[in-house]
Amino acid sequence: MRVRDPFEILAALNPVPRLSETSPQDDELLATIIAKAPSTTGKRRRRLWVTGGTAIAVVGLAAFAVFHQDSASSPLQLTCYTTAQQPQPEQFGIPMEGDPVKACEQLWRNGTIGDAEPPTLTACVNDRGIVAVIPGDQQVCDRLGFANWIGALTDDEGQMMAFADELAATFSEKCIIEPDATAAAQAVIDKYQLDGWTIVQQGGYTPQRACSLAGAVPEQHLVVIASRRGAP
Amino acid sequence: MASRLVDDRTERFSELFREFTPSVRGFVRTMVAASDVEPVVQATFETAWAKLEAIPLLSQRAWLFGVARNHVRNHVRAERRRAFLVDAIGAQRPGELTSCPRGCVDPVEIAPVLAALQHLSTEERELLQLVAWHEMEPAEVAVVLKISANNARVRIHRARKHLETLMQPELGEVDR
Repeated sequence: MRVRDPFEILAALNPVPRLSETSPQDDELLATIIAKAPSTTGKRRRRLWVTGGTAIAVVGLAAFAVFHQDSASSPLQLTCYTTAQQPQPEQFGIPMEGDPVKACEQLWRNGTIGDAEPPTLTACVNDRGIVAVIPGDQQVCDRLGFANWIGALTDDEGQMMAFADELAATFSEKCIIEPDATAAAQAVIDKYQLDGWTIVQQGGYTPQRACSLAGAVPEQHLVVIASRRGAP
Repeated sequence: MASRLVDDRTERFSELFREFTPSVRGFVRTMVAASDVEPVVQATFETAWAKLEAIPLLSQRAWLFGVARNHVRNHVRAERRRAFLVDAIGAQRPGELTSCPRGCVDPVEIAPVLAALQHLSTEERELLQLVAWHEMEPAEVAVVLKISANNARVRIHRARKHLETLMQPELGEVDR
């Protein structure tokens, strides 16, 4: 039996027109996106950490930075850079599975990146906390201002990273006033089922600094709360 | 002056958003579950908003598809994407299958196509999907997949051949 081209059958099965719809929420989505400055929320969050600076918060931030040095805050993501430059004009995101260098080498070999054999590649942790495999030797991470990646996060490290991230986000995304701050921090601790953690309230609230920020110090099982600029 | 630039930028993005949101949504739906479509669409246009000046005017849709594809690949494993693609086709009602603008499909032909899709590689499925469903030229496919146009042409040809090979035992010789 002779039949028509399978490609034509596939084309006739096209579900896309039915799936390509406008949504009543599109105007709202457009407004939401435009309302955001065209930069990453991660950068905004870090800025809040710095501007809210008190001595103890800086200690917390330093501990957090050390924790970040060679771990990735997005352990499920991997990005393969095409060149050793920052900002990166073109990169390929793939799920983190196994050895990141080998995963990116495969993209070079199958022609997804370039048309040649893969160059020497090194795994770094980029400024967004994502594992980035970059063409270059072991010094390439340092040259771009990134940390070298030394291995996958354990489950505990991943959970701790997620906890610290959520804690910071909880306090930076809205103004939590002093009387509510401890309960808000405790709620995040409870959500991650962390035992033996202590919350320290640093204070320093004024009418101009009526909101709170919070930082985790994983080594000491400590959450530090301090004031930051802003009003409810 | 600065305000005018901001207005122009916002206007250009709004036009881009209104023109391409439906097609990006349709493209994403063939790769993820219905419940995951909107977060990927939002992430795609957030990237577009951040990189508006980098979007090539002549291949805006392909550029957006490339970004959407990256967001999907960051979150959904290949095996699940395959399941969603088949799910998207299979969810069509018989009435929709027979009112096809590019020729009607005999129900007997559907099962072999679904089976063949399961056996294609992720890249082959993506290539065929872009050409057959989104009617993209190799140059546009190249933008989506970030490969050269020549490379895209060769890979599309190979993917079509592979699809034919997979379907031959079921449907017989291809009529051209």
